[in-house]
Order: sequence, then structure tokens, then C-alpha cells
Amino acid sequence: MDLKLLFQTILSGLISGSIYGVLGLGFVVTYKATRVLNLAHGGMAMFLAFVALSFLHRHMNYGLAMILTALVAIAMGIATDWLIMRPLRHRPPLDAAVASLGLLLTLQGLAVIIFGAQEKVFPAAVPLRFISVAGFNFSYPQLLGFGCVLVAAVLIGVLFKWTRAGTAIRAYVENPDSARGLGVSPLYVSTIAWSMAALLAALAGVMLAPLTLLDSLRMPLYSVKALVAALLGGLNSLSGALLGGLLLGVTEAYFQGYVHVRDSVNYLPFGLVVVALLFQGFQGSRKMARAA
Amino acid sequence: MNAKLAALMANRRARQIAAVAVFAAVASIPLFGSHFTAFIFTLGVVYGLAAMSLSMLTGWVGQASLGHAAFAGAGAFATAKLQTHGWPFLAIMPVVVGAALLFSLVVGIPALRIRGLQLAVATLAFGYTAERGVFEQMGGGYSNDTVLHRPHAFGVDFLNDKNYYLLCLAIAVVLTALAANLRHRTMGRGMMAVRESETVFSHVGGNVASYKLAGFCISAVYAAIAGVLLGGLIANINKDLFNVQFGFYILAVAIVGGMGSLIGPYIAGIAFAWYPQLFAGVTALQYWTYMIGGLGMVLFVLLLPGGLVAIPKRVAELVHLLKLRMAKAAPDDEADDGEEVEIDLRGTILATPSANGASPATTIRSRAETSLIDADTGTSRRMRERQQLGSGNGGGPLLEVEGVSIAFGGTVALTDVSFTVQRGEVHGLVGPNGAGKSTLFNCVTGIYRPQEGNIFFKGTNLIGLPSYRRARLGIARTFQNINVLPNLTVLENLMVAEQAHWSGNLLRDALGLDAHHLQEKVERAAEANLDFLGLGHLTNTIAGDLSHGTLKLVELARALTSEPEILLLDEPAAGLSMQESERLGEVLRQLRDELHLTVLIVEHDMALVMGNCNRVTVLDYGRVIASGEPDDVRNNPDVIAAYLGTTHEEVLA
Repeated sequence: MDLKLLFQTILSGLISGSIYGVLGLGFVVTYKATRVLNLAHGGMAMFLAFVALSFLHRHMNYGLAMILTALVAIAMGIATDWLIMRPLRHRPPLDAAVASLGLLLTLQGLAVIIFGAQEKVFPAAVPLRFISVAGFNFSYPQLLGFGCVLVAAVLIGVLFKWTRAGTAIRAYVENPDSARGLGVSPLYVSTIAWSMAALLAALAGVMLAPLTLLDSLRMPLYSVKALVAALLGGLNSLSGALLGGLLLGVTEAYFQGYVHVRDSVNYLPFGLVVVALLFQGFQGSRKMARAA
Repeated sequence: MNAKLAALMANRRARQIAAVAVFAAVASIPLFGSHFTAFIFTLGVVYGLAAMSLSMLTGWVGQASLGHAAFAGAGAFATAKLQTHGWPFLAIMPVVVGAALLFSLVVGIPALRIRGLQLAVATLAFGYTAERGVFEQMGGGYSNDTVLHRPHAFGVDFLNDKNYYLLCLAIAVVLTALAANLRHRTMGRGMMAVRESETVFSHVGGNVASYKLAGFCISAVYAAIAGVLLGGLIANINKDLFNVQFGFYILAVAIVGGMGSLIGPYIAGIAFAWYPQLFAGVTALQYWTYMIGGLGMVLFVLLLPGGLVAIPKRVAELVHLLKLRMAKAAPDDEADDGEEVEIDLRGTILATPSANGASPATTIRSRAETSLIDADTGTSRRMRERQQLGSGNGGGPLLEVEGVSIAFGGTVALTDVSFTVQRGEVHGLVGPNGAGKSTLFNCVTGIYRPQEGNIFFKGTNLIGLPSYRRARLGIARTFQNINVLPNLTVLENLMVAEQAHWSGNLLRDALGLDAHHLQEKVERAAEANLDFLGLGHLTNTIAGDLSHGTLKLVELARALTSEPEILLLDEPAAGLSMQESERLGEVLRQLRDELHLTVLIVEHDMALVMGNCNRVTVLDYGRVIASGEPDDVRNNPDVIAAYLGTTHEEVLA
């Protein structure tokens, strides 16, 4: 087996995997904090990528465009929380999921109305050049992508572990009632969570868009991969979602490169989910036995 | 009263007739309209059927699926493929049903073992894989569509859109009627109990996993049939017809119609089928379809909880609110509202047992007569055993706890706990808070598995058996924190206990072929138990509306309805007044002396324990420190030191 080819395969898998991971992370943040299955997450990534693109089309500096996109993302997160999710707080969880479905359709429709129905090319942040380390090639966009994911992961970790807001969210997730009793506002928690999720969606969107064509109908489907990544990590774990995304990405790349069965890569999400569920089941019963 | 009842029945009858008339009127619209109208209505009915399958899944077993499009697609593609091999339509249908069952088992078995949204994610991944993998290979893109031919049967030309509409309508009506039938049977009640509380369901002998799986399988079969009908309507099928978005779409139809409703999804389905026509022909508006539809969905969910079928309820609430406002303005009109309050008060334990003035003893006798003694079903075994063995002590060991130890992480909850409950006794389990009493209950009923030790019930080792199997052996319990099914009526709450006896057949149950005698017997036993505990007047009240003390009794009645041999009561007197707990003591003695039940009771009310228990076991820090007759235990120096020291007077009282 060609070692270099295998390395490139794994590397490209890690790239797409880190994007799935970031998407999964955004999904887990809202699921953990507000128990909402956000089916609009991929749609938010798509819409925010379009927003970033429209800034770039105005010949804006790339960094400035990203900062403005981040602000739009935060506004979108807060609006989603205040207008849709808060009023649904005391309703069955599926209601919020279906509302998020409505949001997905709305975002798709809006994207077509504002940005047009054609697929768009999204420029990469850095030119496609390679540096070679010990015979292995790394491209600039790959390195930048990794850098962004790393920074995002560290930032989120720091936010959850060491800030007041993070502690409040963790306390609320552990035990909503006693956290409320200690003065943690559930509204505060949900606003933070939704803005964070939207920011992560924006990051995933602008990372994904240069790799594929930006398309209002196709990109929201990455929600599926985000959910699979999240489930691989146990649905409740931030680091688990990231690792789940990487696992999905690498396995996908491996199947694309080495398994020559038509469409085999499309069987992966479900295959991985079944494996994960069986494993989780075992783990669950073992944990139960230990706890009990 | 009788006149009132008759009026009510007549009213109900009139409403049924009106409903049928409205249905017939609406359903016959397409017959007088154009073929296009028939097409839209057929589409609506098919959407409705697909959405109804989700409505059942979510409304009944409380699970969500995002991948039902895959089941619909599986049905359609299987039909189209088999048709190319010359199979007749009717011969294909069993294959479709079989395929849906197979796929739903593959998805459901791993996903339903774990609580939570796993099924939603697993079905989503399944839908994605089906669309991108299977359907793509089977039916390809736009260029090589697969054709699904409508059936030729009974000499009717189903290529005619109106005839095809009638076919789809008939199938939908039959499937809906089957579902409606199921809902009022053991299977349906069990599913709803699973949705409400998995813990309760398993503790009355219900197998949670198999009920969830059954709900999912039925739902998948319905979706597959809807897929076949949709394929026949469109004729050219491809992967985009059954893509992931279609799965989302039918979920939206179900939510708009109202989860758990069987009719709502059809109304919503027709609305959804019609909606794009609003924009038809106006090219400029084409792209607005999505956005307006999406916004509409968000607004709908926000403003109309419960969906279309809940509109009458919402209107009634609004009217009630207005009436209250008016009543405030004119305070004389409040006489009517007083009744409700009174009902709630009468629900407490102090109430006279039954409306006809029967004494507890006579109701208990009638209860024994109507209980599940039945030579045919074998359910009588327990009852007979109990009666043969008689009451009092010395009936032999029934429950033996041997050397049970359990630790949570580093915290040791129970250490080498051993004691025996004799048949026919009321056995008290006392100890300070945190002594491990509820933990022990959880070990006996199968919520926890001890790391060491054995628990024998009638000589059978319970370790490793799931909760529902233990319940079927004859162990019933109540919970320290009330565990009722809040959205069901009191009677329905009790009827769930039929799980302890039911070993029926789903298909026969759905078709209504199963003998009714068990159901009727459980119902009679349930009613007798309610009378016995003074709850007879609350039979049809929604459990969630009742007070704490009443719900404790409802739990007790439910436990009794499962006809147990041993009853585990976890702090039944907590939150009851002095008189109420005295009455509870009387109930305990009746359970022992007249029903020959064995009772293991955890309780802090020392007067109740010492006054009614044959023997008492004392736990402290997870160890047994004393066991014996109440008098011995209360004078045991260890007990006084460890537990009763500060409340000595209370014990002597």
C-alpha cells in the first residue's frame, strides 16, 4: 500500500472530518443546553456561508468579512432563541424540532430569494499552495482549516471550563432545577447556547463552502453528518462530537479511496450509527451494572 | 342522573353521525371535481397516511423518526422492481410489508435499546443511506426513472385518477380504523403507557423494548404502504421523491395535524398537498413557496400547540377564559365551578369508600370475587395460592434477600443485607434517610443490579431478570416519588396493570379477535380496587389533575390491579395527615387479612409501622442492624442508638 497516498487520504479525511466535527459540536451545544434537536443547523451553516460570500463579493477584506459574518451569526442565534425557542421551552421536545425544520425551510427559501438559485463558488481564504514536510504535502487551506478548528475547540473548552457563563451552562445541564435555584437563568443559558451554535455553524459553513459548491439545497444535508458525528460521540459530549466527526471523515475518505463499491460511502453514516448504538448499548448496560 | 347520561349518549351519537357526514361530504369532493382535484386529494390522503404513521409512533410510544421517507421509498421501489419481474400487485403487498418490518427491526433494535433521541438520529442516517445508496442504485436520477404501475384489480381501471383516489381513500380508512382499534386495546394502552413512563410500564410487567419496537414496526409498515400509494400516484419514481427532506416534510404534516391524532394528519396532508398550488403559475413567487411555508410552519408550531385537531380544545379554553372573566364581573354565577373543587377534595383517603355506602369489608369481598380468578387463563394461580396458604405468619418465606451489597462509585449503599419476608405478613423496612431502603426496593424490582448477593422470590433467583419479568412473577410496587401516567385517566392508569397477565397476540389484538374477557376482568378488578380505596368516583378523571395524596392511592390501586403476591410500598404515608395514615393502616391490615397479600413497607411513620407490621427490619448505613417483632425492635439498644434515639417518645407513643 502506498504510504503517501494513505497519508493524503487520511489527511483529507481529517479535513472534512473536522468540519463535520464543528457542525456536530454546534448541534451538541444546543442539544445539551436546551434539549432541542436542531434540524436547521446545516441550514444555518449554508445561510451564513452565503452571508460571508456576499460580504466577500463586496471586495471586502477576508478577515473583516469573517468578523461581520460572526456578528450576523450571533444575531441569528439570538433571534432564533428569542423568537422561536424560548416560547417553545415548555412544550414537547419534538415541537422545537419541527419549528427548526420550519426555520430550515425559511432559510433555504430566503437564500434562494436573496442570493439566487445557482450554485456559487466560494473563494478559499488562502491560495492553494503546498508545503512539504518529510515528503508529505500539506496545503495552506488544510493548515488554516485545522488551525481554525483547533482554536474553536480550545476556545469552547476554555469557555465551558473556566468562565462563569460556562460554569452556569454546565450546572444547568447537570441539574436544571437546582441551577435555577442557585440563580442560573435558563434564558441566559439558552441565549448563550444558540449564539454559540450559530457561530459554529458559520465556521463550518465557510470551511465547507470552498471545498464544495455553495448550494442552498445541498449544504443543509450536512446536518445528517453533523448528527452522525454527534451520535458517535454519544449525543451529549462536545469532545465526543469532534472526535466523532473526525472518525466519520477519515472513514469516508478511506472508503472513497480504497473501497471500490459504488456508493459505498453513502452507506457509511447508517453503518457507523448502528455500530455506535450497539456499542453505546453495551456501554450503557455496563455502566448501569456498575452504577447499580 | 340517568336522563343526563342518556342526553350525553345521544349527544355523542349525534356527534358521531355528524362526523361521518362531514367526512363523507369532504371525501366526495374530488368525485365531482376535476381529475386534478382528485390528484391533489389523493396526494393529501397519501401524505396523511404517511404522517399518521409518524403520529402513531410519536403520539403513542413517544419516539420520533426522521427517516420514514426511507420506509415509504422501500415500499415503492420494491413494488416497482417486482412489477418488472411480472409480479401482480396483490402478491407484492406482503413483500412490501415484510420489507418494512425487516428494515424497521434493523433500525429499531439497536436504536430503541437506549432512551432518548437515538431513534431520530438513527432513522435520519438510515434515510440518508437509503436515498444516496439504495434508491440511487435502484432507481437512479431523473434520466432513468423507475415506473410503478397502479394495480388492475376487481375489473376497475385505477389509471382513472378518481378511481385511484377511491382506492387510496379506502386503504387509508381501513388502516386508520385498524389503528384506532389498536389504540383501545391492550397493545395501544401499553404503548401509551410506555410514552408516559417507562418505569411504571416495566414495573407492572410490560416489556418496554418490545412495545417500542412494535410501535416502530407498525409505523414503518404504514409508511411503506403510503409509499406504494404515492408511487402509484406519481408513476415515475426516483430517489428524490423519497429523499431525506420528504421525511422531514411528513413529520411536519404530522405535527401540523396533531401528534397522536389519527384524523388530524389527513386534514394537514390535504392542506400540504394543496399549498404549492397557491403559487402555481406565478413564476415570480416560485421561490417564496419554501420561505412562506417554512415561516408558516414556525408560526403554526408557536401559536397552535397540539396541531389542527387541538383547535376545538383551544377554542374551548378561550371560551372558558372569557367566561371566567365574565364571571368575575358578575360573581353570582360561580355556583357551577364549585363542583370541580369538591371532586378533588373527595378524592382524598378520608372519603367514604364507595358511593353506594358499602363498607370496606363488602367492597373487598366483591373485589376478590371480580378479581382475575379464571381457570382458563391460569391467572388465578397466584390468588389461589395465597388463599390456600392463609393469612398470618408462618406461611413460609416468600422473599429472601441474601447478602446483597451495592455501591455507587465509591459510595456504599448496601452492605451484606439479608432478611426474609414471610408469606402473608406485613413486613416493615425502616431506617434513617439514606439508609438504603429505596435502593433495596430498586434491587428487588430490577432497577438496580446488586454487585453481590441474591434475591429469591418464591425460590426463584431474581438477579438478572428484567423488571417486567419480576412484575409478572407477582411483585408490585409503589414509588416514593409518585409515578403515575399523568395524561391518562385513573382507570387507564390501572388498566396498564393488565400487562402483568397479558400474553396476547398483536395481530389478533389489532383485529379485535382477541377474547375480551381478560380486558373486562382487569377493568372490573380495577374498578373494584378503586372502590376499595375510595376512589370510585375518579375513574375517568385525568390522573395529572389529582392531588398528591390521591395519586398515592391511585398507585396503590394500580399495584393491586396487577394481582401481586407481594406488594412493595415505598413511603405510602409520606405527605398524608394523621387520620389519612390511620386509614392507610386499616387498608394495610385488610390487604393482609382479607386479601392474604404479603406487604413489604418502607415508612417513616413509626406509629403506622409499629402498629401494623408483623415484623420489622431496620437498616442503618446500608446494614441490617435489627430484625424482628416490632416490640423487640423498638427496645433494641442498637436501634435506639442509631436511629430512634432522638425520636424515642414518638416510638413509644
